[in-house]
Amino acid sequence: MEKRSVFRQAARHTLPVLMGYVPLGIAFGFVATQAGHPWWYAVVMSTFVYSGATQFFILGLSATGMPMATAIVMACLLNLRHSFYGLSLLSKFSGTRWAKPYLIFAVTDETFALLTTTLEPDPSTRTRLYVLISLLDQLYWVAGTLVGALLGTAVPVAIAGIEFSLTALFVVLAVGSTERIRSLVPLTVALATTVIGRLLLPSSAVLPASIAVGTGMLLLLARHTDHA
Amino acid sequence: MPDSLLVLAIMAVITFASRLLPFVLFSRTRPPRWVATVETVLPPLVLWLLVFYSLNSVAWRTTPYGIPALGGVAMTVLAHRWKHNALLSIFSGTAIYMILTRLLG
Repeated sequence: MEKRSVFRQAARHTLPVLMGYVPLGIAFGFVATQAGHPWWYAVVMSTFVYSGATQFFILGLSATGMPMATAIVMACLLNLRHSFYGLSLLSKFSGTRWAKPYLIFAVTDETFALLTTTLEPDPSTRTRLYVLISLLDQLYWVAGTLVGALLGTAVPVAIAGIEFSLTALFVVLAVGSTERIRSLVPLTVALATTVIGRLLLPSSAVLPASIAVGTGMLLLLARHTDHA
Repeated sequence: MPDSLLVLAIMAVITFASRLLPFVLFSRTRPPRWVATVETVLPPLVLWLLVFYSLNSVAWRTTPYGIPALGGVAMTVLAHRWKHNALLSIFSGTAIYMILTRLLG
């Protein structure tokens, strides 16, 4: 297949991601600069971290003053879903050779969805197609971030209340993952451990304690239902 | 800014490591069953904990008693259940939060 047509194929496949990533990237760039970061910081983040949830989480770190050790544990857990994406891509990425490190770096929720669901590519152009899809997706994200960051820099006064978009993003992700497992048990456990923790523990210990106790409870419950 | 660049570097490494992990661990063997259990139960727990953590600074005992935050979360949940459009959900939830803060604050 010709190089041109592989590019056209990648552009067509990534069109829905373009519609999603540009506005979301704009929102991220805008919130980052409104939170007091320089415009290039937002762009560097979108280039080298390239994970919406983690990037908003980083903005939240300075806003909430989360201790670094807690932040690292949370970031690992927040990113855990990427590991499970990788499990489904092991065979797809075998034989991609030079491109493999970038393909692995660029696995986002949306790119994962594209690579696993829509494609039955010609083996001879497979690697090029995967790379183009991944690159285009990241390009949309970085371009959106740049536009939003410049907009946010141009708006002189910070818009009061915009920090709530961080909470809203976590709510969106939480609702999505709750719908996937069709169970309110994790929500209930999270709420219970947070409320009890806030009554009993110093505020800095609530999150680590909730993670430890909550994970333990959920694993025990899962085991119980497995045997039933 | 060096502090934030260090934070950014740490987060970039964690994010890449999470993407790389399965390729390193399971290039030859199949993942064990408990991995699947962890996969299903952990993400919603962690994400809800982050929701509650981000509400840490809300003062529940004084006016407006956390009503703007609760309204914003409720709006986000409803919008997301309805349309499943992340951006619409985030915008509408944040808008409700801002409006309630100005009306009640």
